[in-house]
Amino acid sequence: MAIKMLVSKPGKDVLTSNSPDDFYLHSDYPLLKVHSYGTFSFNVAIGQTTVYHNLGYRPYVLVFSQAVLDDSGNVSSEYYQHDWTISGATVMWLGETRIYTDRIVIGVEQSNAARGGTVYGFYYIFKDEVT
Amino acid sequence: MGYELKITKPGYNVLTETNPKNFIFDSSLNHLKTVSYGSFQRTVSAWGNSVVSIYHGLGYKPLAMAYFRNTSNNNYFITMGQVNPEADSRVGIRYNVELYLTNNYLYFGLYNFTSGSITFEVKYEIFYEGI
Repeated sequence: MAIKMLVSKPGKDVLTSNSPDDFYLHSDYPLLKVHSYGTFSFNVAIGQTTVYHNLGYRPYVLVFSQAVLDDSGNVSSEYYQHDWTISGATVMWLGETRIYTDRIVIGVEQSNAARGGTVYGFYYIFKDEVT
Repeated sequence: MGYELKITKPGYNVLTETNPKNFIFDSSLNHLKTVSYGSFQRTVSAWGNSVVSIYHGLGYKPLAMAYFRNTSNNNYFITMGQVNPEADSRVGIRYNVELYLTNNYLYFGLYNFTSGSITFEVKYEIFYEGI
């Protein structure tokens, strides 16, 4: 029989609980492992930035950033979860993250905003591979 | 040298494995730690929208994940995944839930671009990791 390591949540019996949700740690279920994290910023007119991870495969990534709100390039105070793309009749909004084997490219744009403020955001890159 | 706790996936030798992808748990790496999680339902009238706020009180912007569905079916979508919700989107739905956050709150914007009311169900998890 394989050895397991289990840490249950308060009120849950580690010996009898059988739902994965009852555990803080259960060695049958991998946890996301952080590879790197950080903040980024770029001007609205530039529209994107690149972060290198050099893992050699496409990892799980979570990204949040401000959104470009209007043609003047004003940005939101809140941070929005990536990805989003909204296509209007004459304008498109996007906040997207493209994942490559050596880097991620984070884009935040509003297609009519050729100039404007600075977009701030943050990212987490995990060791775990998107398969 | 500090002690480390490592658990490999089945088929990998914990004493010799070096690839982080092959570990269930590795105490030398950070893992996502849950602050809170939950779910809610909110009915949004035809062509309407609504905002639901969740207080996290961390004082910084945390990582979060969320999924949503129209309760008339069991198809879950990741938040902010909608494309052109005012017309037929690439994923064939005409409603959307977006996730955005501030230093103390998580917000869900719920949008209904149909002629009937929709009851949304949202499941979310907030993590200590963030900026």
